[in-house]
Amino acid sequence: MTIRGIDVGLIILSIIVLIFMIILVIIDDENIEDYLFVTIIVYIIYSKIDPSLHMLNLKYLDLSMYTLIVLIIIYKLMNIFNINIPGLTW
Amino acid sequence: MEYRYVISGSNILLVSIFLFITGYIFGEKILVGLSSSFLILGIIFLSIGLTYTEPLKNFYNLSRKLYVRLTNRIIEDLGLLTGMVIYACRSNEQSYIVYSKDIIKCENIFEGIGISENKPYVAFSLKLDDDEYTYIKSLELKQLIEQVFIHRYGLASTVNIRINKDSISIEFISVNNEIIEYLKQPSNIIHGLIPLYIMLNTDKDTYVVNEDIVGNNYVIKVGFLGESK
Repeated sequence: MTIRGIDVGLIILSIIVLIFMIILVIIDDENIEDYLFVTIIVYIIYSKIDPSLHMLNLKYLDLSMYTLIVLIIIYKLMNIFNINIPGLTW
Repeated sequence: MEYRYVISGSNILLVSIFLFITGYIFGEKILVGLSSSFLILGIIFLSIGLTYTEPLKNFYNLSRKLYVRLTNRIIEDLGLLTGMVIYACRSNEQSYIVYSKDIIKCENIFEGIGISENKPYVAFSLKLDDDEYTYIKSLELKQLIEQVFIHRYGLASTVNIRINKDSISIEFISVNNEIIEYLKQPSNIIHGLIPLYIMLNTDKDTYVVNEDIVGNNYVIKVGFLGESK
Protein backbone atom coordinates (compact mmCIF):
# COMPACT_ATOMS: atom_id res chain seq x y z
CA MET A 1 0.00 0.00 0.00
CA THR A 2 1.46 3.30 -1.05
CA ILE A 3 0.53 6.71 0.29
CA ARG A 4 -0.72 8.77 -2.60
CA GLY A 5 -1.30 12.49 -2.88
CA ILE A 6 -5.01 11.93 -2.48
CA ASP A 7 -4.56 10.27 0.94
CA VAL A 8 -2.64 13.26 2.23
CA GLY A 9 -5.25 15.59 0.71
CA LEU A 10 -8.14 13.84 2.42
CA ILE A 11 -6.36 13.82 5.79
CA ILE A 12 -5.58 17.54 5.54
CA LEU A 13 -9.20 18.23 4.53
CA SER A 14 -10.49 16.32 7.56
CA ILE A 15 -8.08 18.12 9.91
CA ILE A 16 -9.12 21.55 8.62
CA VAL A 17 -12.80 20.65 9.01
CA LEU A 18 -12.11 19.35 12.52
CA ILE A 19 -10.35 22.60 13.52
CA PHE A 20 -13.31 24.64 12.30
CA MET A 21 -15.72 22.34 14.12
CA ILE A 22 -13.78 22.77 17.39
CA ILE A 23 -13.91 26.56 16.96
CA LEU A 24 -17.67 26.44 16.31
CA VAL A 25 -18.25 24.23 19.38
CA ILE A 26 -16.12 26.55 21.56
CA ILE A 27 -18.11 29.64 20.54
CA ASP A 28 -21.27 27.60 21.26
CA ASP A 29 -22.92 28.05 17.88
CA GLU A 30 -26.39 26.54 17.88
CA ASN A 31 -27.21 27.01 14.19
CA ILE A 32 -26.98 23.73 12.32
CA GLU A 33 -26.57 25.42 8.95
CA ASP A 34 -23.35 27.11 10.12
CA TYR A 35 -21.67 23.74 10.58
CA LEU A 36 -22.83 22.61 7.16
CA PHE A 37 -21.77 25.88 5.54
CA VAL A 38 -18.24 25.79 6.99
CA THR A 39 -17.70 22.16 5.96
CA ILE A 40 -18.88 22.73 2.40
CA ILE A 41 -16.87 25.94 1.99
CA VAL A 42 -13.72 24.21 3.29
CA TYR A 43 -14.28 21.32 0.89
CA ILE A 44 -14.89 23.58 -2.12
CA ILE A 45 -11.86 25.78 -1.47
CA TYR A 46 -9.56 22.91 -0.55
CA SER A 47 -10.56 20.79 -3.54
CA LYS A 48 -9.70 23.71 -5.80
CA ILE A 49 -6.27 24.17 -4.18
CA ASP A 50 -5.16 20.55 -3.86
CA PRO A 51 -4.25 19.19 -7.32
CA SER A 52 -4.82 15.55 -6.34
CA LEU A 53 -8.44 16.28 -5.37
CA HIS A 54 -8.86 18.72 -8.22
CA MET A 55 -7.93 16.02 -10.74
CA LEU A 56 -10.86 13.80 -9.78
CA ASN A 57 -14.01 14.01 -11.82
CA LEU A 58 -16.52 14.86 -9.09
CA LYS A 59 -19.02 16.82 -11.15
CA TYR A 60 -22.19 15.74 -9.36
CA LEU A 61 -20.71 16.04 -5.87
CA ASP A 62 -19.55 19.60 -6.58
CA LEU A 63 -22.91 20.47 -8.10
CA SER A 64 -24.83 19.23 -5.06
CA MET A 65 -22.44 21.10 -2.78
CA TYR A 66 -23.04 24.35 -4.65
CA THR A 67 -26.80 23.77 -4.45
CA LEU A 68 -26.57 23.18 -0.70
CA ILE A 69 -24.56 26.40 -0.29
CA VAL A 70 -27.20 28.36 -2.21
CA LEU A 71 -29.99 26.81 -0.13
CA ILE A 72 -28.20 27.70 3.12
CA ILE A 73 -27.68 31.28 1.96
CA ILE A 74 -31.38 31.57 1.05
CA TYR A 75 -32.29 30.20 4.47
CA LYS A 76 -29.99 32.70 6.19
CA LEU A 77 -31.44 35.61 4.16
CA MET A 78 -34.94 34.49 5.09
CA ASN A 79 -33.92 34.57 8.75
CA ILE A 80 -32.56 38.09 8.38
CA PHE A 81 -35.67 39.44 6.65
CA ASN A 82 -37.96 37.55 9.04
CA ILE A 83 -39.69 35.45 6.43
CA ASN A 84 -40.92 32.37 8.23
CA ILE A 85 -42.03 29.19 6.55
CA PRO A 86 -43.83 27.00 9.09
CA GLY A 87 -42.13 23.67 9.64
CA LEU A 88 -38.63 24.89 8.75
CA THR A 89 -37.74 26.20 12.20
CA TRP A 90 -36.77 23.69 14.82
CA MET B 1 -13.40 2.43 -7.19
CA GLU B 2 -11.05 2.48 -4.21
CA TYR B 3 -12.31 0.37 -1.35
CA ARG B 4 -10.34 2.14 1.37
CA TYR B 5 -12.18 5.40 0.80
CA VAL B 6 -15.53 3.67 0.32
CA ILE B 7 -15.18 1.82 3.63
CA SER B 8 -14.01 4.86 5.59
CA GLY B 9 -16.68 7.04 3.98
CA SER B 10 -19.51 4.66 4.79
CA ASN B 11 -18.22 4.31 8.37
CA ILE B 12 -18.22 8.07 8.82
CA LEU B 13 -21.73 8.19 7.31
CA LEU B 14 -23.08 5.54 9.68
CA VAL B 15 -21.57 7.14 12.80
CA SER B 16 -22.74 10.61 11.83
CA ILE B 17 -26.29 9.39 11.11
CA PHE B 18 -26.33 7.74 14.54
CA LEU B 19 -25.09 10.97 16.18
CA PHE B 20 -27.61 13.01 14.19
CA ILE B 21 -30.51 10.89 15.45
CA THR B 22 -29.33 10.99 19.07
CA GLY B 23 -28.76 14.73 18.86
CA TYR B 24 -32.22 15.23 17.40
CA ILE B 25 -33.90 13.10 20.09
CA PHE B 26 -32.17 14.85 22.99
CA GLY B 27 -32.44 18.31 21.43
CA GLU B 28 -28.69 18.91 21.36
CA LYS B 29 -28.30 21.40 18.54
CA ILE B 30 -24.49 21.40 18.64
CA LEU B 31 -24.41 17.62 18.26
CA VAL B 32 -26.80 17.79 15.31
CA GLY B 33 -24.65 20.48 13.68
CA LEU B 34 -21.44 18.51 14.20
CA SER B 35 -22.92 15.29 12.92
CA SER B 36 -24.35 16.97 9.83
CA SER B 37 -20.89 18.36 9.10
CA PHE B 38 -19.41 14.87 9.38
CA LEU B 39 -22.24 13.61 7.19
CA ILE B 40 -20.98 15.91 4.43
CA LEU B 41 -17.43 14.69 5.05
CA GLY B 42 -18.61 11.08 4.77
CA ILE B 43 -20.40 11.82 1.50
CA ILE B 44 -17.21 13.42 0.15
CA PHE B 45 -15.13 10.35 1.13
CA LEU B 46 -17.69 7.97 -0.32
CA SER B 47 -18.01 9.73 -3.65
CA ILE B 48 -14.23 10.04 -4.01
CA GLY B 49 -13.94 6.33 -3.28
CA LEU B 50 -16.59 5.42 -5.81
CA THR B 51 -15.19 7.53 -8.65
CA TYR B 52 -11.47 7.10 -8.01
CA THR B 53 -9.43 5.41 -10.73
CA GLU B 54 -5.82 4.42 -10.50
CA PRO B 55 -3.73 7.01 -12.44
CA LEU B 56 -1.70 4.24 -14.06
CA LYS B 57 -4.92 2.69 -15.36
CA ASN B 58 -5.75 5.93 -17.14
CA PHE B 59 -2.36 5.80 -18.80
CA TYR B 60 -2.85 2.19 -19.88
CA ASN B 61 -6.26 3.01 -21.31
CA LEU B 62 -4.78 5.84 -23.35
CA SER B 63 -1.90 3.79 -24.68
CA ARG B 64 -4.22 0.90 -25.50
CA LYS B 65 -6.43 3.25 -27.52
CA LEU B 66 -3.43 4.59 -29.46
CA TYR B 67 -2.08 1.13 -30.23
CA VAL B 68 -5.51 -0.12 -31.28
CA ARG B 69 -5.79 2.75 -33.74
CA LEU B 70 -2.37 1.99 -35.17
CA THR B 71 -2.93 -1.75 -35.54
CA ASN B 72 -6.42 -1.20 -36.95
CA ARG B 73 -4.85 1.03 -39.55
CA ILE B 74 -2.22 -1.55 -40.43
CA ILE B 75 -4.81 -4.32 -40.75
CA GLU B 76 -6.94 -2.09 -42.95
CA ASP B 77 -4.02 -1.17 -45.20
CA LEU B 78 -3.06 -4.81 -45.65
CA GLY B 79 -6.60 -5.53 -46.86
CA LEU B 80 -7.34 -7.94 -44.05
CA LEU B 81 -10.57 -6.37 -42.83
CA THR B 82 -12.80 -8.78 -44.73
CA GLY B 83 -12.15 -12.48 -44.43
CA MET B 84 -9.48 -12.20 -41.81
CA VAL B 85 -8.23 -15.42 -40.26
CA ILE B 86 -6.86 -15.24 -36.75
CA TYR B 87 -4.79 -18.17 -35.66
CA ALA B 88 -2.13 -19.16 -33.21
CA CYS B 89 0.83 -21.33 -34.06
CA ARG B 90 4.15 -22.31 -32.66
CA SER B 91 7.58 -22.92 -34.10
CA ASN B 92 10.98 -23.11 -32.43
CA GLU B 93 9.66 -22.38 -28.94
CA GLN B 94 8.22 -19.15 -30.23
CA SER B 95 4.44 -18.65 -30.18
CA TYR B 96 2.73 -16.45 -32.72
CA ILE B 97 -0.66 -14.81 -32.99
CA VAL B 98 -1.23 -14.23 -36.70
CA TYR B 99 -3.81 -12.05 -38.46
CA SER B 100 -3.89 -13.05 -42.09
CA LYS B 101 -6.00 -13.80 -45.16
CA ASP B 102 -5.28 -17.49 -45.06
CA ILE B 103 -3.35 -19.98 -42.99
CA ILE B 104 0.39 -19.61 -43.54
CA LYS B 105 2.96 -22.17 -42.44
CA CYS B 106 4.41 -21.18 -39.12
CA GLU B 107 8.04 -21.48 -40.27
CA ASN B 108 7.48 -18.65 -42.75
CA ILE B 109 6.20 -16.22 -40.14
CA PHE B 110 8.27 -13.60 -38.41
CA GLU B 111 7.22 -11.05 -35.84
CA GLY B 112 5.71 -7.88 -37.27
CA ILE B 113 4.25 -7.17 -40.69
CA GLY B 114 5.20 -9.24 -43.66
CA ILE B 115 4.22 -11.08 -46.81
CA SER B 116 4.61 -14.81 -47.02
CA GLU B 117 3.27 -17.23 -49.63
CA ASN B 118 1.89 -14.13 -51.38
CA LYS B 119 -0.32 -13.33 -48.42
CA PRO B 120 0.13 -10.36 -46.12
CA TYR B 121 0.07 -10.93 -42.39
CA VAL B 122 0.49 -9.25 -39.03
CA ALA B 123 2.10 -11.40 -36.37
CA PHE B 124 2.60 -10.90 -32.67
CA SER B 125 5.15 -13.15 -31.08
CA LEU B 126 5.23 -14.26 -27.52
CA LYS B 127 7.96 -16.11 -25.68
CA LEU B 128 6.83 -17.49 -22.38
CA ASP B 129 9.21 -18.30 -19.58
CA ASP B 130 9.38 -21.84 -18.24
CA ASP B 131 7.30 -21.18 -15.12
CA GLU B 132 4.41 -19.82 -17.16
CA TYR B 133 4.68 -22.69 -19.61
CA THR B 134 4.56 -25.37 -16.93
CA TYR B 135 1.67 -23.53 -15.29
CA ILE B 136 -0.30 -23.61 -18.55
CA LYS B 137 0.54 -27.27 -19.07
CA SER B 138 -0.42 -28.29 -15.56
CA LEU B 139 -4.04 -27.16 -15.79
CA GLU B 140 -7.04 -28.62 -17.58
CA LEU B 141 -8.24 -26.54 -20.52
CA LYS B 142 -11.42 -25.39 -18.77
CA GLN B 143 -9.53 -24.50 -15.62
CA LEU B 144 -6.85 -22.69 -17.59
CA ILE B 145 -9.29 -20.44 -19.44
CA GLU B 146 -11.11 -19.65 -16.23
CA GLN B 147 -7.89 -18.94 -14.33
CA VAL B 148 -6.31 -16.80 -17.01
CA PHE B 149 -9.19 -14.85 -18.52
CA ILE B 150 -11.45 -14.53 -15.49
CA HIS B 151 -9.14 -14.37 -12.50
CA ARG B 152 -5.94 -12.98 -13.92
CA TYR B 153 -7.19 -10.60 -16.62
CA GLY B 154 -10.72 -10.02 -15.27
CA LEU B 155 -12.43 -10.00 -18.66
CA ALA B 156 -15.79 -11.32 -17.50
CA SER B 157 -17.51 -12.62 -14.42
CA THR B 158 -18.07 -16.21 -15.53
CA VAL B 159 -17.29 -18.35 -18.52
CA ASN B 160 -19.03 -21.29 -20.17
CA ILE B 161 -16.84 -23.71 -22.10
CA ARG B 162 -18.05 -26.49 -24.35
CA ILE B 163 -15.43 -28.80 -25.83
CA ASN B 164 -16.39 -30.54 -29.06
CA LYS B 165 -14.39 -32.95 -31.12
CA ASP B 166 -12.71 -30.42 -33.40
CA SER B 167 -13.64 -27.10 -31.83
CA ILE B 168 -14.15 -25.33 -28.54
CA SER B 169 -16.95 -22.87 -27.83
CA ILE B 170 -16.26 -20.33 -25.14
CA GLU B 171 -18.90 -17.95 -23.84
CA PHE B 172 -17.80 -15.11 -21.61
CA ILE B 173 -20.78 -13.94 -19.57
CA SER B 174 -21.23 -10.29 -18.49
CA VAL B 175 -18.00 -9.02 -19.95
CA ASN B 176 -16.33 -6.08 -18.24
CA ASN B 177 -17.86 -2.86 -19.57
CA GLU B 178 -14.51 -1.27 -20.35
CA ILE B 179 -13.62 -4.23 -22.55
CA ILE B 180 -16.80 -4.39 -24.69
CA GLU B 181 -15.79 -1.51 -26.96
CA TYR B 182 -12.31 -2.94 -27.30
CA LEU B 183 -13.68 -6.34 -28.31
CA LYS B 184 -15.38 -4.77 -31.33
CA GLN B 185 -12.06 -3.62 -32.77
CA PRO B 186 -10.63 -5.92 -35.45
CA SER B 187 -7.15 -5.73 -33.97
CA ASN B 188 -7.97 -6.44 -30.36
CA ILE B 189 -5.57 -8.88 -28.80
CA ILE B 190 -8.16 -10.89 -26.87
CA HIS B 191 -9.35 -12.94 -29.81
CA GLY B 192 -5.71 -13.72 -30.44
CA LEU B 193 -4.85 -14.67 -26.88
CA ILE B 194 -7.69 -17.19 -26.52
CA PRO B 195 -6.45 -19.44 -29.38
CA LEU B 196 -2.89 -18.94 -28.15
CA TYR B 197 -3.61 -20.28 -24.69
CA ILE B 198 -5.64 -23.16 -26.11
CA MET B 199 -2.76 -23.97 -28.45
CA LEU B 200 -0.21 -23.92 -25.63
CA ASN B 201 -2.40 -26.19 -23.54
CA THR B 202 -3.37 -28.73 -26.20
CA ASP B 203 -0.28 -28.55 -28.47
CA LYS B 204 -2.46 -28.09 -31.54
CA ASP B 205 -2.52 -25.04 -33.78
CA THR B 206 -5.79 -23.20 -33.37
CA TYR B 207 -7.79 -20.61 -35.25
CA VAL B 208 -10.88 -18.51 -34.61
CA VAL B 209 -13.90 -20.01 -36.37
CA ASN B 210 -16.28 -17.22 -35.47
CA GLU B 211 -16.95 -14.74 -32.72
CA ASP B 212 -19.92 -12.69 -31.67
CA ILE B 213 -20.90 -10.11 -29.09
CA VAL B 214 -24.44 -10.64 -27.83
CA GLY B 215 -25.42 -7.91 -25.42
CA ASN B 216 -22.94 -8.21 -22.59
CA ASN B 217 -21.72 -11.65 -23.56
CA TYR B 218 -18.89 -12.58 -25.85
CA VAL B 219 -18.97 -15.89 -27.71
CA ILE B 220 -15.94 -17.24 -29.51
CA LYS B 221 -15.48 -20.55 -31.27
CA VAL B 222 -11.96 -21.86 -31.69
CA GLY B 223 -11.11 -24.71 -34.05
CA PHE B 224 -8.07 -26.95 -34.32
CA LEU B 225 -5.74 -26.94 -37.30
CA GLY B 226 -3.39 -29.81 -36.51
CA GLU B 227 -0.38 -30.78 -34.48
CA SER B 228 1.92 -27.96 -33.49
CA LYS B 229 5.69 -28.23 -33.75
